[in-house]
Amino acid sequence: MSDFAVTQFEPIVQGVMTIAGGGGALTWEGVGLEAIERAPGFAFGAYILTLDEGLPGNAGAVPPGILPVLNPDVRSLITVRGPAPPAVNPIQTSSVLYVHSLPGVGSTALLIVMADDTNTLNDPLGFELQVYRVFNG
Amino acid sequence: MADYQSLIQPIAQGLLTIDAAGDPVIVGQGFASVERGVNPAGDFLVNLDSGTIAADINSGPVAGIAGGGGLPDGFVGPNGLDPRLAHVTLTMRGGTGAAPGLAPGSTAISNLSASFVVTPGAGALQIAIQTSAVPALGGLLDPTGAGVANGVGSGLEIMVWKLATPDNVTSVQVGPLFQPAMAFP
Repeated sequence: MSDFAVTQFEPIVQGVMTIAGGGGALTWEGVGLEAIERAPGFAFGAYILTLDEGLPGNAGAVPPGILPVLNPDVRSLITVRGPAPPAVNPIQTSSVLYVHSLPGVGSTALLIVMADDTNTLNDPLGFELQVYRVFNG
Repeated sequence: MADYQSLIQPIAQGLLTIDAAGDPVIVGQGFASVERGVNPAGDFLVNLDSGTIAADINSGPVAGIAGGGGLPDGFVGPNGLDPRLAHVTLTMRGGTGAAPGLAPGSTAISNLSASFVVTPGAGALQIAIQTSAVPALGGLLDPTGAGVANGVGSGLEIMVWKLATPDNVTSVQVGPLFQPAMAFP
C-alpha cells in the first residue's frame, strides 16, 4: 500500500547562516541551534552547529547512531546564498553529517562542509539550512 | 498579489546508500525499490511505492491526461505523480574527507539531479537520480562506498514533495516580432 500523504516531517532547525569574509565570524539567524563554530583546524568551509537542547521526550531529536550517523530518520536542506550579481558563488559542493552521537540522546550537532570548484574548503556568503526529523525510516 | 500560501505535501523520503555487495539500497518511506541506471555508478532509478486511491490523496492529476485518466482530480491510482507539481530535494551526507586538505564530512559530489520518469496514463512512477563530481574528480560517482562511507560521501538524502496547487507564470517574449507595442499598422 502506498504511504503517500502519510510521510511525516518535523522541522527541528531552520534559519540562515551568514559568514563574514576572510574566514570571519559566523552569524545564525533562525531557530533550533544553540551554538555555531568553525570545525577545529579548519579556517574555512567547515562548520559545527550544535542543536538546541531538547525537552524530555522530545520527538524532534536526531536519533542515536554510529559515527558517522547513518540513521535514516533525519534530513537536511542546504541552499547556498550567493553574492550580489555579477559575482559568482564559489561553492561547488556542500554536505552534512550528524555528529556527536550520544547513547540514548542522539546526535547533538551537525557538521556542514563546503568546498569550491578546486575542491578546496571555502566559505560562501551564507547558507539557508533546514533540518527535518522524519519517522519510521 | 502575493499568495504566500503554497502548500507542499511530503510524498516520500529516504536515504540512499550502497550495500556491501555494491547494490543501491534506500531506507525511508514512499519508495518501493531502487536499482542502478544505465551507468555503473552514480546513476539510479528509484521506484515509488505502489499506491491505492484511498491513500493517494494529493498525488495530483495524471500528467498530460485530460480528466486525470478518468480518476477524480486529486486521486491517481494506482500510483503516479504529476511531474509539474512534484519537487525533489537532494542533500549529500559527507564522507571521510579522504581528499587532501578536506575535512571529514566533505563530499566530492558537486552535481545532483533528479528527473521524473513518466508512464503514460499513470504519471511518474519512477525518479532517475544522478550523482556526479566534476570530470577531474571522477564524473559519475556513487554517493558512498560499498557498505561503508568513503571520501565521496556517506549517502544521499532524498525528499519528494507535492505542490498542492499550481500558480504558474510564463516568461514574456519581448522583441520586435512579439511586442505589440512595437507593431506599426
